[in-house]
Amino acid sequence: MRYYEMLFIVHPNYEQDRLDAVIETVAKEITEKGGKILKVDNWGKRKLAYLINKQRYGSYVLMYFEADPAMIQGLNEWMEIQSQILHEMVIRLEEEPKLSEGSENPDSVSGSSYAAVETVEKKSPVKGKDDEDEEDDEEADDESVEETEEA
Amino acid sequence: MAFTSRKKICKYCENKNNKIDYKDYKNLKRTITEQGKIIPRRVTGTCAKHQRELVQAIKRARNIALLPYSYDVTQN
Repeated sequence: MRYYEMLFIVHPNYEQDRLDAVIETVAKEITEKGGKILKVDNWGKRKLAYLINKQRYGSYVLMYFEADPAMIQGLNEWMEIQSQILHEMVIRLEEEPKLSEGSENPDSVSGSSYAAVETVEKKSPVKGKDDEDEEDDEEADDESVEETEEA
Repeated sequence: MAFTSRKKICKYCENKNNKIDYKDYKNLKRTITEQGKIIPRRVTGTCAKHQRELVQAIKRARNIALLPYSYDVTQN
């Protein structure tokens, strides 16, 4: 048995009860295949970085589970077939995950998830006309970031 | 000034609290350009070990749509 984490995106049309039902079917599939669910973490609906199946938004669900390596391929194939799941990624963990109580949603730290994504994407001022200028700018940016972290 | 090289420090070696995780896309955003390209370690000073982990994390984040494969810079 190995530890795995799986992050998958559910179609935005599935909300609340129906989303829970989707999560439950996935969890059931894993346990039926001989795995053991350790933690389910629903991040809620957030904006995708690019369109998947013509969808702009999706509900992210993070799942930790313990499973036999042989069942992962079957799980991947099963997930691909599910129409309500836009995308899925299983990652093998080298050691036992330290499971925290709270959500690991990267957006939850700074309140509203939608706003957070959009503001970060907007701040890309046009700078540097040629490559050399741009590189210099980036270096300067890096320095400022480091400084702020130290302070 | 122009030709003296600065001592480059890997910020992941310096601060052990800086963990590299594909889910932490906000921190990964600092390691890509405005077009979405991965910034080379010759620019950032990241050590080889951590740059490998970083590249892995960025590619995972791209796969699951936490980060884009590319930004359209001309759009803004």
